[in-house]
Amino acid sequence: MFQKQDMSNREVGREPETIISASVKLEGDFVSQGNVLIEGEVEGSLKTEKDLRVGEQARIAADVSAASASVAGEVRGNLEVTNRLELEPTARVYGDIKTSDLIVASGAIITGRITMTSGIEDASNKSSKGNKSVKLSKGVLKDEDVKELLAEETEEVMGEMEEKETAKKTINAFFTK
Amino acid sequence: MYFYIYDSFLSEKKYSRTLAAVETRLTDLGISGKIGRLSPFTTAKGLIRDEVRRGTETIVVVGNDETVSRAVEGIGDVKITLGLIPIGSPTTIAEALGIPSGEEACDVLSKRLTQKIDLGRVNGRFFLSSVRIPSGRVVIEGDGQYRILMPSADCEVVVSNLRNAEIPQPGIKVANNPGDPMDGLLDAMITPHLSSLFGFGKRTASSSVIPMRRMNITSEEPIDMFADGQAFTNDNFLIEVVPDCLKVITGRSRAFAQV
Repeated sequence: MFQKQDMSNREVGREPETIISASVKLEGDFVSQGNVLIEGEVEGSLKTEKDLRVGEQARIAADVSAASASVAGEVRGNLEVTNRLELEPTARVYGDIKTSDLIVASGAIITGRITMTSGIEDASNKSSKGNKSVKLSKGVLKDEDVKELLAEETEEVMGEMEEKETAKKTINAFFTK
Repeated sequence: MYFYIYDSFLSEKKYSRTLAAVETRLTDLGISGKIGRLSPFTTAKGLIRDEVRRGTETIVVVGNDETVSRAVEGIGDVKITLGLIPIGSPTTIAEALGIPSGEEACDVLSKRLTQKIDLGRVNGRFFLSSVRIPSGRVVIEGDGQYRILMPSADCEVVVSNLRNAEIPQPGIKVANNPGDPMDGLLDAMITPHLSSLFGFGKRTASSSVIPMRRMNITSEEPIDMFADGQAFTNDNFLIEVVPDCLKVITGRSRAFAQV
């Protein structure tokens, strides 16, 4: 029992200050200033200024907000994570995700919109590239989906390079004349 | 000016030697003072209130955890400094404060290294260490914002202000050191009892640890609660933290605020 708890703690990075164990249900608005480990049930809203770890058996029906998070269980609600969000193979997220750094393991289920927040700032400052927003038609983000996304992005970059190349040729042709 | 409160059990012959050594050491260090003795007719609260009126600024409790508990209940939010000389057992509160037993405690006292710590209050009664509900079907309302429900019929609840031996399952490591008396929070540790196969014996599930400022514990029927070891029964307990309430003399090996 303790071994499992220790492992979860290590994965969070630091030891949790709040632990909701598997046999406990929390209802309402929970706000914490420390690390939180959820192994049980939460209904309402959940907010922490530090790290959140959602265990494999955990079930959350709440809007969640954290500095960074690692999810192995079920979350029904929107997830807003300031830094890194890690979805493990057993993770099931039914709601929108907003984060600046996302790691999705093969097998994780996401049904909702993913918004990468760091992209928004870069876009508004530099160019019209815009906010990288991905809407998943099916819930499961698999290797094929990732490949498709990468292919789209590669096409965009290639297109840009071709445009630049053509412009260069035109300028060269003008000076040669 | 120091005022020493001796517990009634110190009149037993087996403590006379230790007590004599303590008194000699206190005289050597120049911190001896007036002595008040607890008895069935003299309460710690009465002794402390009289001495505070006379201008005493430091109360030193000589005895075990129960003596400290009675003194803390008497001190409440009165602005004085508390010192301990642990004699007898259990002395887990003194251990958490880094104070050695007997004569050696006098040296810690003379160094006068003080910390301002929180106290807990349950239904108006002050406690230093923890309150414990050994068993009962309860609902906990935390900070007026959420409720904690347990599907299990029975659970143990320990609300700690200062880490001590009453916290179950010390194997669980938590970063905020449950029972840090300087964090402005109380830590509720909830351990559900699961009924085992064929109903023989009890198993315990893993504990939940939730820091709170204020909690309301209710039960459908009256249940027993132990505040720093002293028992009382009720069906509704309002528990809250009183931050920076008590100035206490601590040793360097205390379990919190390590430099």
